[in-house]
Amino acid sequence: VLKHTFFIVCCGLLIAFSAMADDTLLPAPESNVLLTISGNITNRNIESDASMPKVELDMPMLESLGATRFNTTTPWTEGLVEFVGVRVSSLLDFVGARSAHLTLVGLDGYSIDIKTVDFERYPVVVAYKKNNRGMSVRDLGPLWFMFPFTEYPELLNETNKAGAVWQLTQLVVR
Amino acid sequence: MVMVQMEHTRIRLLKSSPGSINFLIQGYRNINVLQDRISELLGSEGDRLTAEEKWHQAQLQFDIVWSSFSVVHITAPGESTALPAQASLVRMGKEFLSAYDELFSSNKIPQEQLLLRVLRDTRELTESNYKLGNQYFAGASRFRDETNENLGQLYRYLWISAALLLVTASLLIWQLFKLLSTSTRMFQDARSSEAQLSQVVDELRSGRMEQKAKDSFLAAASHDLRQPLHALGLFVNALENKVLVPEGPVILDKIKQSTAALNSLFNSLLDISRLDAGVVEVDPEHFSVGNLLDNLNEEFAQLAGKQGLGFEINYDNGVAYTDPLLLGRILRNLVDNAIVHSVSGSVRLSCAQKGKSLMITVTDEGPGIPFSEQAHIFSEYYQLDNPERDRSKGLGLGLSIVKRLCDLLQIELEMESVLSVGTRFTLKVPAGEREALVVNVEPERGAVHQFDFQGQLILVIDDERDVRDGMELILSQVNCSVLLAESSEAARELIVEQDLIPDLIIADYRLREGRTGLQAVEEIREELNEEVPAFVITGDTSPERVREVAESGMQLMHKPVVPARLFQMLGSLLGETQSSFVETA
Repeated sequence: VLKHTFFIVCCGLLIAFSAMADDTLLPAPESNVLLTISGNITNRNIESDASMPKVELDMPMLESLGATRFNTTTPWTEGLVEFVGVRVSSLLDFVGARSAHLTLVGLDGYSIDIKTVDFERYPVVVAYKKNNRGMSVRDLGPLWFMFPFTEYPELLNETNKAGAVWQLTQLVVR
Repeated sequence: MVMVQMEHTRIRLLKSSPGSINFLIQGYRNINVLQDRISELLGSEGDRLTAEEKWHQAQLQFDIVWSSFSVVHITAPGESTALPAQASLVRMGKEFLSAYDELFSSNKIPQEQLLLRVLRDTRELTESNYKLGNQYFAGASRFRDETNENLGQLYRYLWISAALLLVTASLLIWQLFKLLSTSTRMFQDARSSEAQLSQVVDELRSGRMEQKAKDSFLAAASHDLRQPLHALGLFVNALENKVLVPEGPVILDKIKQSTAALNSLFNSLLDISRLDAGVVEVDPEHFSVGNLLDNLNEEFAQLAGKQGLGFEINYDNGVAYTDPLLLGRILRNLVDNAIVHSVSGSVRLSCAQKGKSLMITVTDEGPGIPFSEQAHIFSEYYQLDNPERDRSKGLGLGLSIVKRLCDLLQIELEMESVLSVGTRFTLKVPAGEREALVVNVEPERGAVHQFDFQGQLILVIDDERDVRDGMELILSQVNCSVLLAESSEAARELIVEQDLIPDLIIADYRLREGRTGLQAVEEIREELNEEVPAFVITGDTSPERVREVAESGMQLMHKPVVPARLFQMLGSLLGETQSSFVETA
């Protein structure tokens, strides 16, 4: 019995430790915060509240997560447009997201839930460059949640069209 | 048709994308927020820091409004081209944005008057947006109505389809029922053939099939057998006074005995045939059983003695009500059987009244009948202990005749038998009334009788030459003139030729070319225009034949005809009165 209890206690400790080990402290952004990720995530910025973990990212941080680029047409732009951005799957790994169910919020308060997109399969990005240039607010920037509609026509449905949030400022992992 | 309609509706719904609605709502909201920001800025007078903050927010909101106008691709629901109101809204919006672009690009907070103007212009914009929203929703509701109408149409199609489906279904069900009734009929057919089959099997099992086969076989065989037997009888009798050798009469006697035995066997067969044909008439009367038993005693005591058996009768003065001749036949058969099958002991015949019945018993001390055999003994041709089929013991028809006669007379027949003890048959005969006794004088048995028909003319029609010749011999013994013919035609020729009118016609039933004696008699009667007395002789014992002749009303005699019976028949038909009849059965 003692042996058993000891084993269980050891296991519990191990699990707790590994959970703590996952809770990575990320550096705080040094310039303007462009995107705030919160919700069901394990990582957080230094100095943020551990009970409500959030990760704030500025442009250098986003750029450091690797650039993914694709050409696509969209219902809101003319012709083929090249987008460059952080792949959503990398971003979710970076923040230690525990699910791929996201709520996206735009500058104008517009928000939408994305539940069924396979980010591992599709190179969906949080774009920060359009046609190799940064995007202003007037130009639906600075961040635009963008799907590679041209390469994967199956993504072009009403849900994803509504989910291609421009002027993205917040991302909540559910 | 339905599918086309549904696809059409789907496409129309697709065209009214939620994106358009989103834009309208979001755009309206964005302009409203800009208004709010400017209002807040106007309200934050004096607080420099707050004013700058508010201005910064207003600037951002201006950019957001700008961005929302930059992505206008609104189309009215269900339409692919922009509505005029939309176009004017976009034009207004863009005019507004370009007019105040410079103002909002500057970090310097504008003057209050300017801000109020911006506020007024944004109100115009929101009103226009609102109007467009109304139009949009009006369009949406129109579209909804249209959709509803389409749906209504869809329902109508659905109804028609449903009705068609219903009709098809009912047709199918009707067909199904038809099929069902057909199969029911087939099933019934199958059932009836099955019933027929099982009937055949039953018949095979119970021997009824055999019976049918036997009936036709008997009828055919007996005809062929009776023919020579008939002739034999006639010749034997004709020989009577012509055998002059000393041993002659003895041999003739033996021949006569054998002929008699043959005759009795055939008569048994005939009895069965007659019983089966249902032409045996029952003539019940009140009579004393004692007389009958006495007669049997006379008949059988000697026979029993010869076999080393005792024969006893024992009766009270019972009166029975039934057919005395048929009851006699029953008892003779039973007694004969008892004597034939017993080796020792005695055969007892008794009668005692018991209530409203007379119990007549025939008891023997023979070997008895094994229990397993008891059910079969009333079958035709059934004989116990006669594997070599000794014909002198009869054909085995005795008990079968007994059974049939008992059924006919409605006499209950019971049998008890214990192996190596004996067998007892009990007949339960209805008791009669002594007051109703018919006093009849039994003719003396074995009385010799001479007929004399005083040269009356008899026409004999038979296709067999032997029979014709035999008949001539016999008939000449009783002083008849005889006219012989082989067919109806020959007979008529003779009649015309010799200008004779026969006093009586004797015709064989089966003549050549499928003609019958019945037809021959009818034709001759027609030729003579006179109802000449006639009778038919047949070797055919099939029930149908017997019935046919009975229906024609003509007298019928079965081959072999013994002279005594022939003479009786002649006597009864010719009105010969000088003789008394002898029962020779």
